Amino acid sequence: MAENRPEVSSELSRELNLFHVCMMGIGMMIGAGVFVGIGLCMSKAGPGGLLLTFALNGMIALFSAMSFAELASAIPRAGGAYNFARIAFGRSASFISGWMEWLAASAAGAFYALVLTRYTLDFVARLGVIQPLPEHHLTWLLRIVAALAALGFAYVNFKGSSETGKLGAIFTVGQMVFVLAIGIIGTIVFFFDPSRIENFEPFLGNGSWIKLLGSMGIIYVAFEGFEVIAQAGDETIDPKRNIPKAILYSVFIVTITYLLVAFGTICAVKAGHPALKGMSVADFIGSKKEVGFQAAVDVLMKGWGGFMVTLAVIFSATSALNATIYSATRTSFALGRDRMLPAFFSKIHSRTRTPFLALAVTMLLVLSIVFVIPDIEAAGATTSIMFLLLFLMVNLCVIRVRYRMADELEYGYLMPLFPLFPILAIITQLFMGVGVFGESRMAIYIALGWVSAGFVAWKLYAKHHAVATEDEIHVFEERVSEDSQGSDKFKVMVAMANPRNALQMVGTTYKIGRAREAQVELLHMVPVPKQVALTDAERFMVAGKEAMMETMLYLQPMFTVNTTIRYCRSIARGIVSAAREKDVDLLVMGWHGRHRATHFALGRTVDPIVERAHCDVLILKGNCNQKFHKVLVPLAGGQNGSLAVQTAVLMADPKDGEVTVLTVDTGHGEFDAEAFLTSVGLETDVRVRTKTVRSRHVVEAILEESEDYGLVIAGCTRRKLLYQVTHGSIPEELARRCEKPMIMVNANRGITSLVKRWL
Amino acid sequence: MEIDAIIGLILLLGSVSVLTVLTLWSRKRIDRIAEKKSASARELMQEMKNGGK
Repeated sequence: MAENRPEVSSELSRELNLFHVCMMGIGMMIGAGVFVGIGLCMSKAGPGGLLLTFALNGMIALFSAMSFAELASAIPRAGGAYNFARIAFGRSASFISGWMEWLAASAAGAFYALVLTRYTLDFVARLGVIQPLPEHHLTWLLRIVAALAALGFAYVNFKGSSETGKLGAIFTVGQMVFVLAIGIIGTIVFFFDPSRIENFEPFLGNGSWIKLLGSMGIIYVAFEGFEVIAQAGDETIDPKRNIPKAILYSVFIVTITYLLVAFGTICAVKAGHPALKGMSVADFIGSKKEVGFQAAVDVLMKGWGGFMVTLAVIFSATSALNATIYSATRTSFALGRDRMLPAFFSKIHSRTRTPFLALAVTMLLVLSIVFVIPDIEAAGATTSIMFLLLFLMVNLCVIRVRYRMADELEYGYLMPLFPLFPILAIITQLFMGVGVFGESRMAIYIALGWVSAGFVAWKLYAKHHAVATEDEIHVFEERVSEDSQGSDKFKVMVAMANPRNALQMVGTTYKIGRAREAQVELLHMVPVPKQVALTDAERFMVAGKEAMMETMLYLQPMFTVNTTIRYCRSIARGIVSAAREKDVDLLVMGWHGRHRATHFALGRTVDPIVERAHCDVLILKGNCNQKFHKVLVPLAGGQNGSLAVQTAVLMADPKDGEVTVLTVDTGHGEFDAEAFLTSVGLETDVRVRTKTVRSRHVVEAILEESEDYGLVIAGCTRRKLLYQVTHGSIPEELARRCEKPMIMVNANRGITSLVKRWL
Repeated sequence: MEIDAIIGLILLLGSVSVLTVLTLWSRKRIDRIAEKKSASARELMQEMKNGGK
């Protein structure tokens, strides 16, 4: 009865507009990071270096934000590095991303817990309730209170309560108003007393440009948070437009706000003020390190500033701590759900409906960091380095996804000058990582240790237990012949996307397979529309299965034949993936010969396969399942020429067949066909001759010549598809207009193809 | 003015300018894409090429 139950689809109501999602990102970024960062950066890079740290970090964060925005606009339901990596690179990269995201969020949780506790205890000490805390060391009291605070928020997460976007927006506006007020007051003070510009001398303080790099790396955590916007796709009105906009706006607004606050803080204190005790303003703020901002505002607002900063930090760190624990738990839950971590990670509490065991293990991780890390700076650096690695991965993902899935995804945003900014982001993030190494080796060791542990966990556990997700291609049915086990025979894969044309490929497969003593892989891809769940795919496979059985009847007496039926969302991706898995040498597929989409040379299925397949490809048009006495091979050089001639020789009738290699002399230098044939070194009984015709119109000349032939074989264009779109290509135009049976060939070009495929 | 300050100011103004230009440029692209019917990357790039940025 259960099978007949009608399915009811459900989705979250879309209530968040651009302002709400923008505030969500700003709220995650503006917080403890900037309050702690001002003093820390001042101590390393001086007053000018502080402004540069925020400006350069903002620019680099925007490069990564553009990658997030593009991916989130195309894959709105799959926000986060973990899901992006799975779509772009597969399971292993996805696991490592999720593993890094887990530590990044947990380290951020530990960082916010320590900052929250530090400011709170500092405030209590000012009231005289406890002894003043030592300035730069974490005492056991501080660690224990931070651990209790983290546990408190773990309980809040366990109960399942969290801020909604609208309530979060109100908190964020409050924080921004406070931060902007400090910036504006400091700037007004500067305009009334321009001599405070001297506070910026020396520009880099006691630091250097190298120290600036370390300062940028350590405080990059203040720009972490915009990525949460990518996960709000389900709740956002017009997500394809609003999500990318919100990601970019939030980074822009936050950077300008940080610059204003940093400027205001430096100008807040007048040189020679008694509170400085003879130090320069930069040295005074820098000497206070993580509470430097509080000390400067205290001087500016005469005692009230410290109180207000403490309140602001408590509010911002509270909301950030809650969000990071939630984020770390959700990541480990996702890893457990996909069985990359043990299944208990995905266990949901029956009453609160929260992943309580994932939360418990996450809290162990947070508490470990709280008790192991030497100081707040190292906690911030660990968080920053993990997010640097994560953002690096997302920048790789955006390049990979744009090249691999450009035809499948519907984009709401395409970054300009692609792939310049992801590449710049990767390079600058690597440099910042080196900078962090100079400032906090502990952070680098923790990061490297965690990533290494991730690789071990992948090899020993995740690799063997991971389950397929909706985004992956599923094997539906597979039959492997016993003869093929461990065989090193030449492998020919016949891809039957359209079962009605399957028999037309038998003849070609037979001729090539016999010549190469090949093993045949029959593949049928079952395309399942997006509207249909993959679990219902079985109903689409009946016709393909019948065609496959019929094809087997012809091929099995001669060859070892394996069969595979798979279902997928994209036929092209499915075929390329299967060819790679089976490690085939030659892929044979059919083409209907119709041309609908103006942006493709041969079609939205064939073009990506020709671009990405790691093996030689033959594309058959028309009925090639017959004897051919005369075969025409138009040639103009190129690396497909050799494969085209070799295929022609196999396709021609062995008794009285003839292959003609045709060159068209357009007056721009004639191609030497004879020399080319000598270099190919054919060993065949089939007669091969060359012919040259003079014409300025290559396609017209070949079409006219092809009238006398039974089969035409041509190489695919070697140019990039975008070039083809703008300029057109001779072989593809020929393929579209030729009325004779035709075979398009595309040869695998070793390392060149490898680089192109990877991209 | 010291050389560090001059380099620093150039970097500061440069990075803020890049930030502003990229944000506005991206905003324009998002609005243009939202108006189009076709939406795959290949189609969008082709249309942008034909119709300017």
